Amino acid sequence: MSKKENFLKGFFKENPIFVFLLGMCPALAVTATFETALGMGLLVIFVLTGSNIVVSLLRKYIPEHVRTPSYIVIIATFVTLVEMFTEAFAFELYESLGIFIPLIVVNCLILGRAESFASKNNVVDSAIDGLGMALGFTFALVVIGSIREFLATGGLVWGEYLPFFVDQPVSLSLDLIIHLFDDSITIRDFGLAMFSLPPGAFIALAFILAYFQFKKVRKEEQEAAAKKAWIEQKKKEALARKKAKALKERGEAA
Amino acid sequence: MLDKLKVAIVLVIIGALSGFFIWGVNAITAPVIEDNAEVRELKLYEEMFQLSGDFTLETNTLSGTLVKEVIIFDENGDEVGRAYQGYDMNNYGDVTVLVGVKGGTITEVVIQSTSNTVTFVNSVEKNYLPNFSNQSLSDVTYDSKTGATYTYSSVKTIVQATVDYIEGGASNE
Repeated sequence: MSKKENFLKGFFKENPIFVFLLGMCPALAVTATFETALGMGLLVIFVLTGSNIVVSLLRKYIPEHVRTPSYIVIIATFVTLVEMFTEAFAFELYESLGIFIPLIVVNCLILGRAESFASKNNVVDSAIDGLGMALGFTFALVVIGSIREFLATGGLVWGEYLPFFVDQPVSLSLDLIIHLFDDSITIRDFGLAMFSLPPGAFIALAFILAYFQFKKVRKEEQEAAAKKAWIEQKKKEALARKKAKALKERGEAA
Repeated sequence: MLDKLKVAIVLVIIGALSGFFIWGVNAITAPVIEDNAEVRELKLYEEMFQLSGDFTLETNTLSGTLVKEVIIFDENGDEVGRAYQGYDMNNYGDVTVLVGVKGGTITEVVIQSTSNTVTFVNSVEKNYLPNFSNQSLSDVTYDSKTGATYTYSSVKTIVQATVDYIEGGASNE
């Protein structure tokens, strides 16, 4: 596997959430808004990349039968560091993610990558794998978060939990279009509030997974149809060759 | 025997390195976290009592549900009001609430920090905490249906503890 393939596999082919269904707890719990989803993704990028690098560095020194507790200590260290940094420098995000920051320790994705990849590969490949997988995880969270927030409020907000690049929260909502025609209507009043609550998380995820499954099945069907057509073509070609050969033999005999 | 020693040494080294990094980052972030908490608390007092100028605080430590009583004075040294910080633990974690009181009336009730589920906390903050504002301490009414039973129950416990403390009714011990 090339380094590029190693990096990109986490986005679609081996996406932790949409394909492997790993890390479902944060995928359901902190994706009520685009910002919290992105925030959790950023924390996981730091923890997964860091833990993969350290596990890979120490892989030859960690005894086989204590590798799991060792990996957990390494991951827990990174999670503690990230929790402290978040509390100090992004308090709103820290408050909104709450208990789900410490729970990154038990995210199956992180321990899974340490166990299945970082413990068997060199530092560079492990770092690329960690970064790629974490970005794929973040991509999935952001997709779910954006859909849920848009359905619940009719728009997306930036700057409420991640205090970067803007002084005040900036809202990008359908109101910008609606208010061109009618100022009295606010899209939030027509939002499906359920999507900001846990049932909405399950429903949104179900539709997204169904879409990915549909795409996967359709691709498999297309590949199977193409393969079948190719076999039919080869059969026809073989039959034509056989016929031509038989005609040739008959002509020679006559 | 040597293998076991090796395992122990490796684990000790990993643990020590982890501890060292956590200590280092804590040394960097702890003062920032403390400063941020202080700034947020002062901002809460400003909002709670609509303070525009300088103000000073006098803090009394309490025991029980209420953690501390903060007396706020304006720039002339006149008492503006009192804020009571209370702490309660429910099934979903801890809740710290600040109750602002001025002249026998609740000015505002604010959830200062909590580890309860964010969605429910937001719901309580948005829909139910404003109902406490301007209520007389001698006759506080609580909502019976909030949809966020645990968080609101903790808020209710702390508000009631404040009422009991001020009215001199039930003991705060």
